Amino acid sequence: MSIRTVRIFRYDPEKGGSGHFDAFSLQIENETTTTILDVLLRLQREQDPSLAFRYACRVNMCGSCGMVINGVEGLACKTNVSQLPPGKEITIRPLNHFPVVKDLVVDMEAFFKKFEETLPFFEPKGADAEPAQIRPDSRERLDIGLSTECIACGCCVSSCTMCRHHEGYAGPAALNRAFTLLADSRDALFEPRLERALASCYSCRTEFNCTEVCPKNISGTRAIKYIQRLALKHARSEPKPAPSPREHEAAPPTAARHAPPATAQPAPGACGQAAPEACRHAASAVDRRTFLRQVGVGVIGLGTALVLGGIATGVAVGPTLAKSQKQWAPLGKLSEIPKGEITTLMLRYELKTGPYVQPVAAPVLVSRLGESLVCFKSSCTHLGCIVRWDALSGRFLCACHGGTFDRDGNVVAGPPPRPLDRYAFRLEGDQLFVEVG
Amino acid sequence: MERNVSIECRKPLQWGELDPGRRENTKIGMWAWLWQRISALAIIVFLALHMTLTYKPFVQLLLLLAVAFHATLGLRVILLDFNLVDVKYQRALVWGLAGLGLVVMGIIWFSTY
Amino acid sequence: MVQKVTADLLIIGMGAASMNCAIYAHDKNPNLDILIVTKAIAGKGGCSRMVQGGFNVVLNPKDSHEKHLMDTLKGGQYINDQDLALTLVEQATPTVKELETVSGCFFDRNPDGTIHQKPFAGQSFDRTVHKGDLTGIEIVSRMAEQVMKRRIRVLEEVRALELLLDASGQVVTGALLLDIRRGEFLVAEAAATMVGTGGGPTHYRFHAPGPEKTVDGLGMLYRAGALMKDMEMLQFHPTGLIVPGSVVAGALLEEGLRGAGAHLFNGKGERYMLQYAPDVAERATRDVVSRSSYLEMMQGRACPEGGVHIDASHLGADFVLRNFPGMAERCRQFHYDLARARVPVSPSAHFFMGGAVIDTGCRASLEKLFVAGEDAGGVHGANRLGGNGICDSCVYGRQAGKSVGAFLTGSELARKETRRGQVEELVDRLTRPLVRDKGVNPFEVRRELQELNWNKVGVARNAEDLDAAATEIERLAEAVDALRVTGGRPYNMMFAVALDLRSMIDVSRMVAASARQRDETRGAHFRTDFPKQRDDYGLFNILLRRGEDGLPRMEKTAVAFKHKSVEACQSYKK
Repeated sequence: MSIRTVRIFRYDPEKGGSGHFDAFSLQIENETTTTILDVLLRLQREQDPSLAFRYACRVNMCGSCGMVINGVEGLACKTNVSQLPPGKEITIRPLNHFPVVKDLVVDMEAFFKKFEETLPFFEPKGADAEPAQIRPDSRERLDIGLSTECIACGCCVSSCTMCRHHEGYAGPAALNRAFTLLADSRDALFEPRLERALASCYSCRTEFNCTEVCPKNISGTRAIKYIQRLALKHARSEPKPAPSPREHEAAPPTAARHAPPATAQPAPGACGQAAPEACRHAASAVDRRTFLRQVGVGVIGLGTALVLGGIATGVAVGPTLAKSQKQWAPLGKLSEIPKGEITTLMLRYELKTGPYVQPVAAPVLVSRLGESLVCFKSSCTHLGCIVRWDALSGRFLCACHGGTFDRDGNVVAGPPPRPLDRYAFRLEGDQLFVEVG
Repeated sequence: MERNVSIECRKPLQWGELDPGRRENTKIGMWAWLWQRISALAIIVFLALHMTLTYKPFVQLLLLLAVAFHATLGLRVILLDFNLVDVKYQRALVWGLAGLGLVVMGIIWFSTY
Repeated sequence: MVQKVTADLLIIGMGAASMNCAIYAHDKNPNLDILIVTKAIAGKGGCSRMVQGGFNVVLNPKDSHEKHLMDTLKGGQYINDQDLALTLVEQATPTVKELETVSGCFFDRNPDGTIHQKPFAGQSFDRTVHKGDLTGIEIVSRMAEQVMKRRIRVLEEVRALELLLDASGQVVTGALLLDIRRGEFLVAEAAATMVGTGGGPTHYRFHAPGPEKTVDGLGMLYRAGALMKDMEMLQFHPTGLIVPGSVVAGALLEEGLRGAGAHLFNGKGERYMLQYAPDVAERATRDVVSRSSYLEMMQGRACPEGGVHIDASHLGADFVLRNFPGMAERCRQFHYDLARARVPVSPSAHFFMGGAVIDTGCRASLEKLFVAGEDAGGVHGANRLGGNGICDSCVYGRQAGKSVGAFLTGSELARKETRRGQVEELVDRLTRPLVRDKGVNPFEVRRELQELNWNKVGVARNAEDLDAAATEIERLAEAVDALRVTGGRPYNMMFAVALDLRSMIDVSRMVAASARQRDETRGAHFRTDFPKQRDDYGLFNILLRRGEDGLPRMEKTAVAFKHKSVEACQSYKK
């Protein structure tokens, strides 16, 4: 026995508006045997008869009572109160992406329209009188499995965020049906169906929302991936490329099931009975909205490309264009450099090139052999290897290619093209600075 | 649809609109998608930082993290697309690959520094 | 002014019978303008969708139509219309094949790839074609797609309330409809009208069909003055799940469980079916098992939950989970473990064997009227075999489609004019609950009616209870005339209950009155005051028609043993 607060979305078409939640309090005898459908029926009977919701079979077979319960799509008849967090409030609201007729009742026309887009009906290949002999362990039947048990409740479409963002997206349920037919060797509409289904498949973002909510444990994602792989296989086995989808731009047929009652026109010939070509629909003009959207996407894309391109260009070209800033870097104290010798000192400073700052550490060969001070760069003028002073021979030696310089930095032997480079230097008191950059 | 002309439907509710409980109940597949997008943006940011502030270990760590995250989530989609992993393991796949990404990243990081 | 729609063929309901009718009528003549109206979402309403077990059909060369016919007649305790029963078994074979080859159903297969057929109660051969244990979803989903493919017009959430007649009262001109979403009335006029709403005895406490199935078709046919028969024959399915306090109560555990060898136990843990039917035990026909369970319950041997227990655990958990996944899941939802433990069940009101009198072309007693499926009577006699139900709907839906297609040519394509004033009178009467300031609550009346029928016109009946029930039903009929409904017009579910009650009352009248006429026990009709089947007395059908005062006028007609003699039926052993 428990008392639960149930918040239900209310919308009255006679009053309009955007709807609100009503809170009800209900005493529940046994939560394990009470479904959300029982809750709704009792609230309607005992508290508010104007409450509207849709249901039919009450045993998970018809798919009429799909709704969002505590933020998750589900069938009211398949969700028991005991499955929800104990003691907490229960929130019930209509499915996403469908116009709300009243309270929890939605208009599922859009759902079946999307269904139609993928030609979700069987078309026999030949006029076989006998049922096909197909082993239950055959590849196609194992692939299809129980995916034909979809009850078209709309939960998957409601849970899918892409159904909102991608207008032409047929959605998981329709693609699941397309998959079961594409995998079915008895069906004759493989090509047109594949073409239509495939166009939708790429809107899937592998979020698995549809798989998580399906009350029949069917995976829309699996179906979509299957169609994509099927298209790959098919493209490989097909010598000529499939016709461009643009030529057959899918415009859903004026659905006869939704024809206004007053127009009693004879139904056109069944689509499937004519040649598959007849099922393809006339090209539809790109409407304003689509156009604006495309422009928007173009602008955003262009912007992104410019920004990224700018960064890349800056990074790649910038350093070569920008001159490094000249600066005086401290090298050491004159008094600490012995006379009559060539000493190697480590020069440390930060090299600034444009926006970039790079720490540099380079050995400097300071000569006090003569009267004046000379600061040689330690990189060989051949290929930039480090040059060291060999006191024994009185030469600067480069280990890489045998470049040899005399004590004044002039080339004695080897490939170096010019004498060793020298730093400009100045003294501020005892402190020795060299010019870098 | 003519019979609905005289009845005014409320415009469709959207994912997350008037939808308490949605975020707590959002499952891992959805997060995987979202985080791959977020990591893509992070990569752009960290990459730019990496270019300007060269050899800053902190930036490099973040960049490596973002790349590892983005790559593992991308691998997830590839594995699923080509049926190399059955979709029924999709939840385990997210955790498994994320773990693997972290390990690989750790190895790279500690072998470099 | 009520909005009007027209069509060549108006089909009321959207289950297997209606959709088959639409498909075959269209294929016969693609120029026919067909309009289907359904009170649910397209393809989601009706009982066909809820079919679990399967479809009886002769496919195996070792089986024969003869055997299927004899099983059907034996199951129906000899009072079937033999023409209809013969057509049923003969046409079932092509119908099932066309479900596969035309509509794209795929039934479960044997390892070699041929169609698998499973055992069902009351049959001499394993002949039930199925798709797992939720066969209806496959059949109805595939058919709905075929309807979509043929661009047949469907008005969904539009319910039919009353058949319209011409001035002579003998020709059906269409129907008065209610658009549920708007709450507005519509008139549909057609050159032919087909009623295939299905029955759905939800006017009982325990009922197997979903609560939205409310005997609309039977009520409409009765009020229009069509000839009805065998209305006392109302089948109770022996294994309706007991779920206290839930609307799921009464939902079925399918017959295949008993077919596969599940046992039934009473509260004392005895396999009582061994006493009632020593030869076949649990595989006895539904009437026998339901009656036995009911007697056990009445004699104080009910299980704690108030019914009896079904036990499939000895078949092995793997077997049960593999073959009955839907049933196991249904039980699991309410914390019952079908694979490993006993599950409480009770007889549950399930199916009308009776209904409108039709011929093999589904033509009913009024002109331009066709009836198929559960709304029609006579095929199953006094008891329907499990698996013959969806068979009936599909076969007779197909028969109706072909027959309507052939009928709607030339001058028959002309629509007759509805009697003046009929629509206005009806609309006025039906709108009254919405405008009353004070009145009776329809939910209350429905509950009372369900209890009354369950207790007095239920599994076991007697003269005294039936007489009392007849009086009570009239009292409730008065209450129905004084109902008050609150709220606006769009999608008013309380108003829907008020409208349901009209048909429920009329059907209750028919069942109670017919049951009073049959002083014996036969098939589903069990009289405690006449507990024996009396073949010297009972080989008749009760025909009835609505009288001026709204009460049924009945007459008994002897059963015509056209194809099989009564002796042949009696001596038939499986």
